Amino acid sequence: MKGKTKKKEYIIAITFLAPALILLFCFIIYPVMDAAFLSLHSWKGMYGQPKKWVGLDNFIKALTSGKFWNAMLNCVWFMLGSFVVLMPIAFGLAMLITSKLKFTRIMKTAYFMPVMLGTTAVALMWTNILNPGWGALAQFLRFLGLDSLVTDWLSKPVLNVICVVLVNEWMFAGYNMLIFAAGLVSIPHSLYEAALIDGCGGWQRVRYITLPLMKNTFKIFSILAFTGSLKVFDIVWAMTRGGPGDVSSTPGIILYTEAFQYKLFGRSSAYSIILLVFGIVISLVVNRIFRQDEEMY
Amino acid sequence: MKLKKATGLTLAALMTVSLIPGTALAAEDYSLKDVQFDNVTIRVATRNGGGAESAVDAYYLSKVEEFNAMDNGITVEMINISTEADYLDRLSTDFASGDAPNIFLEYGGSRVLDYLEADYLLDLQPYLEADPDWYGGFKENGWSTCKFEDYGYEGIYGVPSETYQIMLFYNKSLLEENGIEVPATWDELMDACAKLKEAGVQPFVVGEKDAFRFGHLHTVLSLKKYGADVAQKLASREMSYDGEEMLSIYGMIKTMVDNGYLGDNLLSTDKGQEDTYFEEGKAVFKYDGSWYPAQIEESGSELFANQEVGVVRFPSIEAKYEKTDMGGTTDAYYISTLNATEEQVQASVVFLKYLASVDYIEGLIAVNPNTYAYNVDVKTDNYLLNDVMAIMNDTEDVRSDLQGYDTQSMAMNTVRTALQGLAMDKTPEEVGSEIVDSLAEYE
Repeated sequence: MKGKTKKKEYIIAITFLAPALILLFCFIIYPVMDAAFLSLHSWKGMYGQPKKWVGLDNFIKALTSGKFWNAMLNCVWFMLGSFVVLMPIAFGLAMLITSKLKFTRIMKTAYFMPVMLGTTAVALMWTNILNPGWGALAQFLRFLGLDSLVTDWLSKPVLNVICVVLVNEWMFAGYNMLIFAAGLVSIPHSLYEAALIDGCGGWQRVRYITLPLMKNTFKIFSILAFTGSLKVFDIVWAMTRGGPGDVSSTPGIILYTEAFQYKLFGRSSAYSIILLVFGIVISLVVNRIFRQDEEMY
Repeated sequence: MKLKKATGLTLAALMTVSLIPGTALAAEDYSLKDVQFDNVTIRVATRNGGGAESAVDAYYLSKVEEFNAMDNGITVEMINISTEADYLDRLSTDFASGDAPNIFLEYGGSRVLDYLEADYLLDLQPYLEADPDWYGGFKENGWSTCKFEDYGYEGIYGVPSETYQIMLFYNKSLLEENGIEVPATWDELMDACAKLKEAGVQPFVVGEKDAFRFGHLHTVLSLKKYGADVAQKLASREMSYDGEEMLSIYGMIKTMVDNGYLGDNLLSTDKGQEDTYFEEGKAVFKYDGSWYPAQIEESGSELFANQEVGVVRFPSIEAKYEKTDMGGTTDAYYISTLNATEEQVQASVVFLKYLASVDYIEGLIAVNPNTYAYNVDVKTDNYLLNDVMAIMNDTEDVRSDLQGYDTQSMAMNTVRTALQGLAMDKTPEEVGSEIVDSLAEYE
């Protein structure tokens, strides 16, 4: 009788899990397996044409390519931007919208607006703003008599990556603000009241109550920031297409161009597997760091 | 035993014979005159706009609708993507997934080599031979984009659409105001640029954000300096992309960049903006294709309306290659056999014939006079196009993008991407090495 109930429970569990597992297999596991298979072959993207086994050749070529490491370096700029620019801004905005100030609803909408605009719209808008000929920024600088500061922001190596990073942070500040706000509102208000009675100032409350209790939120932000920076594609593609040359390219752009412009689907898959491994390793490391921190407390 | 063997051989022979009609049409059938179609749908991919963005787009849409209304058993579904990069990406994806369009527009040479190597392009030669009027309807030099003998493939794998030549367009008033003659040689052009710059007038504005701009300049300069053979020499690596000859070409472009002859913000200016600068009288010269007269006419430019735009052959570098130019067939239609039924292939040929019919071409020329690959006289009021056609008629030899003759299909992207470095701070040597290293990486 007991066995029958257990069996029934298993069937119910499997039934509920099945849709998610099927979707996971179809859209995540199978494509990853397929990419892994393709990464060991040479294939020009011609349907029905044989895929030639090349072993680790695609990985060797990918990892010894200067183009790839330049793209990885650009990812580092995105990571730096996430922690140096995005995190403080998003956290500050979250503090603002969860405070008792007036008009926080308008603030929430306004800060979240760039996310709603969509990447292409934001990219086009900023590409025009940053145009050195007629762009708003160039016109503003000229109005102030600062002509010497006007430059081709999206064409100068490194500077163009920094510009794209800043636009990316501007766009996603509102989104990350919500993540931090969710963490902030989950902290019991009584803790702040107790701290106030104990004579804690504003900064002390943030330092000793808010930050320690938001570790999980920071962990989520960190993982999203690292993996997001590794796979960044759309904003760069829409603003610079990875150019000029390949100076603002990212691994995401390389794997796209290798497949669709150079028709090297095997090597493109190798890039995707390398990115996947990097993403998993970074996530594990971040988890480990935050876990050690938790254990210390 | 003998009977058994004889029966076996007879059956085998019958089987073989019975397969022949299924795999090849009799000579008279290639004309497709009496073929009946029973509800066949074919997909046609072009770079025409999805809506009625231009006169050509509107004309194409109306003619496809007209074809679909013919009740001939064929229905054409259009895939129209005007942006080149998006269009080519879509083609790559379709061929990778096995869902290729039945007819597609492409630029020939190494760009379609992968499709040809995979045996996914229909050899149209028997169809063209069976219909001499169809074949004869095209200019002989138009077929270059559709033939691949240099790659070891006999046959004709496409039908040409437009022909072109790169020329030098200039603003007559600005030249006159500055007392400069129309340049016929490279040295004269450089002198003119120096004088204009000194007078505070911008000689060129080049939209190198679209990497094909330097790609075209590189090709035309190479042809003018080394002749038409340069295409084969580069393709066979007899001439290297980091050799003295090519470094000299990169050096010429670099000098123009460094002297500010090509504009200030080359990499943030695209081709559309380049056109606008020229049409607003903010640049004196522009090198562009023979398609430009139709384009400037449609833009409603006052400069064009006042007949202030002139055109000359691209200035010569070596006198013996004066009439060797960048040009040829711009694009061609190809038929894909990938996962296509015999009926779809035949219907595709019928539709291609429709696109090359006298009725279609006359209408096309009426809405958009241009330098087409069709064997018809284009009579137009567009004074600039008439000048362009006169120059083309006097041209002795043409080659298209040099990388189009390469055996590596990625050579075009590789070279164009590297050439953008000239608009940054890269030296000709660095650009040459980058091209060679990148090509080696993909070998």
